[in-house]
Amino acid sequence: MNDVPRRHAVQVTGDPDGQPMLFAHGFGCDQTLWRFVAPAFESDHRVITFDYVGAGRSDRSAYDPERYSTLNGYAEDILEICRALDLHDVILVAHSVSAVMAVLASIAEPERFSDLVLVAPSPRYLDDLPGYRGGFAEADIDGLLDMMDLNAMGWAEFLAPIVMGNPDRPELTAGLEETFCSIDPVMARQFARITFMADNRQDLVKVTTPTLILQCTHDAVAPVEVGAYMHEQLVGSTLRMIDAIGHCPHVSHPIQTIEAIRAYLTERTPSQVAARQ
Amino acid sequence: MSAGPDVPWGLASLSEDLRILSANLTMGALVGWEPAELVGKSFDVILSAPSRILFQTNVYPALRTQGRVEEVFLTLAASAGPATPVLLNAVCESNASGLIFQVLIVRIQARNRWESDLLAATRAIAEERAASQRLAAQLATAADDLAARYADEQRNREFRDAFVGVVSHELRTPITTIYGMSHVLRERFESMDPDAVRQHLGDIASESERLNRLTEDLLVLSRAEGGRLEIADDPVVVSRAVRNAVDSERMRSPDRTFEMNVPKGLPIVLGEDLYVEQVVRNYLSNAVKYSPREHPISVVASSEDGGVAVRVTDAGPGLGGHREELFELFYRAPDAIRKASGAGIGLFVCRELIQAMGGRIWALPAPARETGAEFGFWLPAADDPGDC
Repeated sequence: MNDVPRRHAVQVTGDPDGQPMLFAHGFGCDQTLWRFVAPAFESDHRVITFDYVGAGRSDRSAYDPERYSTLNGYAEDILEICRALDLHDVILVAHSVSAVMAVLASIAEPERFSDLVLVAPSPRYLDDLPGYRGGFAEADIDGLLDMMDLNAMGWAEFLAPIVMGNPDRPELTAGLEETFCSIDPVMARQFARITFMADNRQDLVKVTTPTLILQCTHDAVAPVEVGAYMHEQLVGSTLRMIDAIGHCPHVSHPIQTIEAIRAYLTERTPSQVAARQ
Repeated sequence: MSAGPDVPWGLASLSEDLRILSANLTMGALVGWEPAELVGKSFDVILSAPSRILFQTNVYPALRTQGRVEEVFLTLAASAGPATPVLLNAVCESNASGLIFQVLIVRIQARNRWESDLLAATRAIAEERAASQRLAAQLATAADDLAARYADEQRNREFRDAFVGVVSHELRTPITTIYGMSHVLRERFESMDPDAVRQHLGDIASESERLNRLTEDLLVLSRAEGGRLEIADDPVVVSRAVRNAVDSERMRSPDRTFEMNVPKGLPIVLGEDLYVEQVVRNYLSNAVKYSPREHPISVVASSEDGGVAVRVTDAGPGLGGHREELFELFYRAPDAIRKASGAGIGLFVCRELIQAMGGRIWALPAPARETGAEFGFWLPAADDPGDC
């Protein structure tokens, strides 16, 4: 349990006595993506960011293909971090596929979390027509995996940090601390596969934690219909639109993202807060 | 964006919110649009579906955190026909109005074909390697199976050899006596001394009895070895079984003294009375075989530990440090081999029978004696205890 913070390169900032806010990054990058948003909550919250195993400065030797063969393994990571840091009454802010991890973690230990803030979430990326439009066909995901392999093979510059993280070539690791958004190609590929093939729609109705959904108006990865579906399935959830193109409003529109989260946290009625205590 | 129509690379500027601000002719040609038509559109529009995911989840975050990306492989959505493979380089610049992304795109049709082939070959090699690893694992499992089966077979063979050797010897001895004596009687009965006739008939009777007991033991042994030793849950009066066994042993060995101490009121146990009798009889006949004639053999039954214990004690040579092996099949203690013939089946059969009836079995040095042995067993009382 003691190696959990090191395994996930956990960083804790902000007010040590404040309510904890745990930020979970999505597929494709690492905790550095929260650097435009998380610091805004440091004045009155205990702010925790981390990397999933395989991303950023996590301990890549801890990668267990079996554990991470489903999103449940990643949800367990969130719970283990909460236990290791003895976090309670946590506001869990999760981007993209991490929204599913947040949902699974809150179902497993509902008493642990006060709120879920889901940024550009999707419970299923594949279409399930006619009833559900996730945005993608299976062939698109195969195409994505091919593309990731071709990029890894060509040592594309944007994946260069992987070369530096290569344990077989320690002479290249010198610059690792300056790299951002690094992700191991093998782990990234499996993460992509389980992320985009997963179907967690059935889990949404089991969530009892109050939830804010932040939906971008033009998101090619998690379309508006998906946000509406989440809102409908998550009983008592709040849906907020952010007028933005893209899938990373916390990067492209940090001010709006911060304001939306702040507004939600402020507007929670006293009865909602009281009901939890 | 001053590049003319003949430059072989596509150029585009994107606003902070990823809308196309400008594009050159090549960029338009790559996706089948006029450059002017592209302006104002989201950059996503010109990307294939897989590329949209990769761009939004990997490329854009890298561009924002590192300030640049180079040689990213993507495919562009063509207005008609298959997607166009390209390499994308981009930098992030800031000006007065905010951030601007400068994007350069180069088509890599031929190289992509080569790279795709290379990728396919790499995957095929990986698959082949995985397949050969699976095959090796299967082979290893098969070899283990074979070794286990060979070991089983080896054990069976050893068992058969031992069985045939022991049994043929143990069966042949009484049969030889019965055959020889009956032959003599048939030929010379009328001319023989009546005492000699009685002696021969007595020998035939006792060897028949020995044969009968051996057959009973062999029956239990064959069932135990086949895993088919099933014993009924009938109520058994232990004192009666002990008495029957002692009576039959007295008939067999009239020159021996048996001291029996079987109190009244022992609990009823569950099992089969003939099997309990068989165990006591095996104990008694061992005691007769291995202990000096002048010493009595003691049989004590008692109620203890929620059941009934029976102990047969003799003044023989004792156990000689072989207590564990005594109940193993075909085992014969070195002293025993010197003293009398035997098959090494009797005690094994006792153990199997007692265990099948839920009891315990033991062999100990005889208490309060310098030599001798105590052979005992314990059987649990039936749930509804009764008196006898």
